[in-house]
Amino acid sequence: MAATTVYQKPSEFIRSACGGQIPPTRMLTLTAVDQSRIKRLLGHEYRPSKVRYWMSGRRMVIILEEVGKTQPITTGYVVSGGKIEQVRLLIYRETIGAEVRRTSFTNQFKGGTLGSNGKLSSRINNIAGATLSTRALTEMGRVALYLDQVRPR
Amino acid sequence: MSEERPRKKRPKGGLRRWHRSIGAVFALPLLWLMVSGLLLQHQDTLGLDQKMVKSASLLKLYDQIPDADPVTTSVGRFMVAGWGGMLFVDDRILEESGTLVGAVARPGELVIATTGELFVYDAQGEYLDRLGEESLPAVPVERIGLDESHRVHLQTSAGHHVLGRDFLNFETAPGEGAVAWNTVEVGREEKASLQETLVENAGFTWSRVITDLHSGSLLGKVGRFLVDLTGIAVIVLTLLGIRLLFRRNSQKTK
Repeated sequence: MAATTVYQKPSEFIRSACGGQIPPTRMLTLTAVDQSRIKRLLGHEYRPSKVRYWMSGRRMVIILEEVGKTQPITTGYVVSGGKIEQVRLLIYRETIGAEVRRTSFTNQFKGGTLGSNGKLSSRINNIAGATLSTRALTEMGRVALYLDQVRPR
Repeated sequence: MSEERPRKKRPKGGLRRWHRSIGAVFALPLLWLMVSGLLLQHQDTLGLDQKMVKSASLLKLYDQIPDADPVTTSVGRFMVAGWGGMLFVDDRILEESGTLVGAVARPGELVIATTGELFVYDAQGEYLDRLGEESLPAVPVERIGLDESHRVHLQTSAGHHVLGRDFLNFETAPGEGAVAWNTVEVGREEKASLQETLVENAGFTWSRVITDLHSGSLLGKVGRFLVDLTGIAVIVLTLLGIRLLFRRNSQKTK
């Protein structure tokens, strides 16, 4: 089994994005329409029917998981005003491809929005040897933006 | 006048003996390489890339079946098991993983606790929600229990907490009260059926096994060394064979 590397605990990520404390957890129950939209964004079924998120002012903090090659990659996203503000790789379990943790890579997501065609407005350059991890983070970015659109206001 | 120098006497049939001995020793490994090579060459025709391995002992070699015993617990109508980091509900392998601590069944929900996460499923066993470290009082989770009002209790390094109805928050439990803590037990009886489930779902093709047999990696370092040695033996046998052929030809000419 591949070794698990924790770059930042999800709780620490939420704290750092929410001014030092974890705000009350909120939950979004996904409808059949949401599941179908997310399926299109991910390219496969999204298993959880409930998604947890945290609010700090207008900023939504969300922790998502998506399989890279065989193992789930845990990533934290901060979305504000329909744009990605921050992306951070939190837990990596694959054997290769952890280069996606680099800020030079994650900074590409900054300011990205979700187009009507379901694509990210910002161009995400692939990292050689980390294609599947790049794809997983990009797909999760799209889902984070979609969830920000459909969360209760 | 030049005197003819006496030629060194070579042991009669030395090369031939070497050729024979090396050939005899490496006949079986060579046969193994040739047969596995032929099988790989025709794996599409033979359907080896489609046929799944159903042998538990072979799958154990690939660490697909753990050596240790599984742990199990019965909650409601579910049998929850943990084995080598994998989680099972009845005879179904879950996509979620972790070291099983326990499980509780609330009306319409099954909650499985691992040391690092809690997973929530509906009454049909469909995945609903995941509570990671960020949603728990602390990790590792030590035990999970249920009180009379179907509230989930957790024991962690941070103490005894009770989770809110939707698992969105938690608070320190007022006291031990009437909490039914769930315990996991070594499931020797369930081991066979769990192993069967793993064999059924392994997804290992014969193509991979034959490839690993051909490269020797199925037997680890020893296997790879043996394949290397067989390769060297083939080179030596070829060189010896050519040498013997030339020697016979020169003897014929004389």
